[in-house]
Amino acid sequence: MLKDNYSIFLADDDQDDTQFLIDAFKELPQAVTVTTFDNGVELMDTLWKSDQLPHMIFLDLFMPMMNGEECLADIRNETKLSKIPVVIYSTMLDMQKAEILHQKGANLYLRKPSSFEALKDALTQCIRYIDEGGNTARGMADFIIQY
Amino acid sequence: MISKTGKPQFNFLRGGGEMGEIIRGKNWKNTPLGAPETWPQSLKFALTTMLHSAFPCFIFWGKDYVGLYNDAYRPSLGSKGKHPFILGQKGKDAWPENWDVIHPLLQRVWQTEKATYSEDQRIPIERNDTIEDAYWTFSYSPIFDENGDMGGVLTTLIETTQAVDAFQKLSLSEDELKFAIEATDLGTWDVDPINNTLKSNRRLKEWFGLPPEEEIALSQAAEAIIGKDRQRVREAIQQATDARTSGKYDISYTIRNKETGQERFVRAVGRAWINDDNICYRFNGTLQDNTDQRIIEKERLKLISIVENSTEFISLADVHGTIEYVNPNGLQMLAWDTYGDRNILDCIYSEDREEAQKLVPQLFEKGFFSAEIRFHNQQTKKHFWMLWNAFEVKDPKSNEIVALASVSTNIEGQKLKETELQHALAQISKEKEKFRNLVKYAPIGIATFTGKQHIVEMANEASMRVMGAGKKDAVGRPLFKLLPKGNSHLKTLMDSILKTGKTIRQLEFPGVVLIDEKPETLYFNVVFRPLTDEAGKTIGVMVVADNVTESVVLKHILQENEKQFRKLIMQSPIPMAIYAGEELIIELANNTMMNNFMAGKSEGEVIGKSLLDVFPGLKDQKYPRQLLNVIRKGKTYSEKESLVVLEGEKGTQEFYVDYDYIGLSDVDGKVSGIMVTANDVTAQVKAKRKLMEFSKELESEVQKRTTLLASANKKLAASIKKLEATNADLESFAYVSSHDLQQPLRKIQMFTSRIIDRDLENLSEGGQRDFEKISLAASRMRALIEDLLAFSRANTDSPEFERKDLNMMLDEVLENLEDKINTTGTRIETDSLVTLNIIPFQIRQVFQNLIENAIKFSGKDNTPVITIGSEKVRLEKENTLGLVAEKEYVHITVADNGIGFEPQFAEKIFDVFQRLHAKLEYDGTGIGLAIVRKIMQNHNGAISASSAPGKGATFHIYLPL
Repeated sequence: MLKDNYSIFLADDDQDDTQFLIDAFKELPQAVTVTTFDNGVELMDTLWKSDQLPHMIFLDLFMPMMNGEECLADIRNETKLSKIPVVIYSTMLDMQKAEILHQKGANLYLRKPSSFEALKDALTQCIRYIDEGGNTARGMADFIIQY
Repeated sequence: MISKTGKPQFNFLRGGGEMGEIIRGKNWKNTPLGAPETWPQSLKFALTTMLHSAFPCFIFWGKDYVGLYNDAYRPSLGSKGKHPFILGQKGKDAWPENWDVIHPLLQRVWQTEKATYSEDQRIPIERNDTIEDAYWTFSYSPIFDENGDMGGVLTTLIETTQAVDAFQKLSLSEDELKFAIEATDLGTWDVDPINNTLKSNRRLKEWFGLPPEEEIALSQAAEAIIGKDRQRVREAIQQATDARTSGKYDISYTIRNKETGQERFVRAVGRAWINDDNICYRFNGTLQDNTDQRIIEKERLKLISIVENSTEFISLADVHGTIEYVNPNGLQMLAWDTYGDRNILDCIYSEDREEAQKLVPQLFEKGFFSAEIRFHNQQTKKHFWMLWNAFEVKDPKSNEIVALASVSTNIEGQKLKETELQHALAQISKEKEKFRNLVKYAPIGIATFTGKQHIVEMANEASMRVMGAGKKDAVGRPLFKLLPKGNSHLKTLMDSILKTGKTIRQLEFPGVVLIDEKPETLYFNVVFRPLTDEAGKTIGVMVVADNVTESVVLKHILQENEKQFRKLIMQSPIPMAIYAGEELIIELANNTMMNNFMAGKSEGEVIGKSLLDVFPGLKDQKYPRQLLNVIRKGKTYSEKESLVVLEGEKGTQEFYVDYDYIGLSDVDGKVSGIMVTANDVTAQVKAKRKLMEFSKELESEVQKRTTLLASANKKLAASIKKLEATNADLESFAYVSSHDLQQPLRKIQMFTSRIIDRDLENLSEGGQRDFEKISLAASRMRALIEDLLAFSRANTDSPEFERKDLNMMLDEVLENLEDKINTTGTRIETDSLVTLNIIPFQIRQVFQNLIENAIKFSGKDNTPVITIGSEKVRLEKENTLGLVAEKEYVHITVADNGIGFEPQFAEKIFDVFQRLHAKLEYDGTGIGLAIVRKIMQNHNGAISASSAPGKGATFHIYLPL
């Protein structure tokens, strides 16, 4: 179901990467509001307190204080958050780790692309994923988005 | 005078009522009396008197006895009878029915001129159309005429028929009453209290023992009452006869007939009659003999007492089984308070109820049953055995069953005793058996034989058995026909007794006897006694024999054993000796002992002498004490490698000896001797000592080495730990640094791409190209870092082997490479692969790498075709791959139709960073195959490649099965 406005939460400690994401969303036709967090703790804080939940959460794995994997666990444990689609957003792609994250309930694994166009394409896929209802029952091949 | 009717009236006929009239009116002329004028004066007078008498009268006048009567008499004639015909008739004509009775009486009066008197005389009279029996009380009196002569008879009479009838009826009633009284077994008594007399019936007289007189003194009756009741009876009589009371009398007491002594218990019931003066004039009643009842009552009370006090269980129930009575003990047994509303089955222990229910119908069939069953105490909840006897109670007349009775005994104790008894009986059986066996095997036979033939005269069972005969066979037969051959000595002996007449006793006398038809020698302690006749002549032999075969046989065996034993000892190569008693007398010392330990001494010096006398040097050593200990305590003593110092001719000698002191017991179990076995082990001891020293040295050496080894191991373990730690560090370092290295490179790429996207028009061609090159360089570096990480992983990963189907793994890899395969149009043909124990992640890497390479090096215009094959192999001893010989491996080939390579490079391609082509031609880090080889090493497998330029390449991987 298409939305008027897509609310996206992003947890990433890298300023440049954060900016890339915001800029890429801007260039997409859909209206997207991106809320960014420096680390996992701030993200979880807001998630717990907020009534307005995002349509999708992007988690970087390498973060201080609370890394992406830990956030994922918390999100999936919390009933009100458990249905929100989570995208693992990382430079690295270690297949074993990816499998683990898939089992732990991550919906997509987006390997940070090295071109802007690729990033836009990937985000479009993510939005389509939201539109399709955010179903996690996907095989590993569909789970991973890399270029 | 003439009456108005014309008839003459006479004054003497005046009055007289009806009869007077009839008489006056009758025509007397034709009657025997004639006309009344002719009647004599006496007649007239008599007639006048009669007519005016109110008393019945009848006149018989003259010798003809002509009859005349008055009104008072007339009723006696009844109706339809003689009245008035007999008036003026002759007697015999008037009274035909009784003339024979009255005529003589009338005649008597004429003769005697005296009156007659008859009371209640029966004189039949014809009247009322019949001849009736009538009773009369009458008098015939003479009537004299003027001359004083008899003229006629005057009858004055009363008919007493009714009275007589009544009297007769009364008599009858009285008789009937007496009869009734007789029938009732009652005594009757009638007391006159004023005169104190008693009338009683025969029965009462019998009971009281009274004289037979009708009336007796009351005191005589009182005598029969027994002493203790007299006062009571007297008072009761006084009470009854007192005018103020009701007069009723009812008392029971005991009487004793003083003649017969018989006692009766009687009940007197009666009534006192009081007259108007308030005096008791009559006191009468009946007497009932209640002796039987009394006895019955006593018996009844006894019975109740028996039932109530009985220790048995007694109960009564109706025909439906509802209980009507349980005696106190019965209630106690069951611990019931009452028996109300209970059924007979309620007594029964629940488990036995079924059986009980089967028994009850028997009661109705047979009339009784008796069974052992368990009752149940309601309170203690315990059950106990009872002998349950039940029977039906019938009404003797109607034969109907009126009740079910039970008299049952507690047999709990009996049951226990029964069990005990059974045990006891079993015990007795056992004992009997034992005894029987005893007798069987230790018999003393007694037999007598007569005559030269030694004929068996008498023989007991034991001796019969010995002779091998049954009772019938033996007696009367000659002994030596019964016994088998081999008993000639016996015959000689018995013959000699007949001659000498002397008793002979023999111990362990052998006799040959048939046992199971085989001749065997038995041994007997026997006495042969001569039998003599009155004259003193020896006529036979009595034999008393005790079968001691067993003990004799044993003795022989023992003797034999002893012999053998001695032989054994004497011949033994082991030094052996036997010392006897506390003096340790050397009874026996075999040759070896003599030679080894008693060297220099002769047998004579040793045998029979005390040990300490022969070897005084031993006194101060431990041996004598040990020997005595064995004798006293009976315990065997052994010592090994004991140092013995013996003084001999050759001087002081030292030995090492293994010795045993074994107690030899007598028959009574006491140790009386010691068997000594000694072994000279000096040589062994010395040798052992040497060996021990040597082994000690060896041990210390080994100890040293072990210590060294242990410390070396420790160091190794420590090193391994360090290495593992380092590995772990290295892994995470590699991972993190890989990430940290890649991050900036990616950003370079990203920013570069944005510049290109955003400012493409602003850039010069050179600028565009430069930026592209920057991006490319960054990509390459990223690839390198990835591969380095992979290579490092292959080296440091802790391997987790899993059993995996390689086909599935291959499919996963092909799926991953789907895009590449599709864009290049690569065709893949594959054999079926095995399932193996592998590190999944690493093997996937291998497949991925080899297939990617095959696609990469496919050649420009070629459609890549990759063929994957699989087979099982066993390699020969020597192989260049470093695989174990004779071990089974799976050999998988990945062959492509690409550009191939020079065979000389077949090994080199697996080195790190080794590339066969320039970067521009074929991209790659050069690490890939190095990683693959490392992975194969991790699996204890191997990889090799074969190729020729332009002919494609085949990669061979070997994995152990």
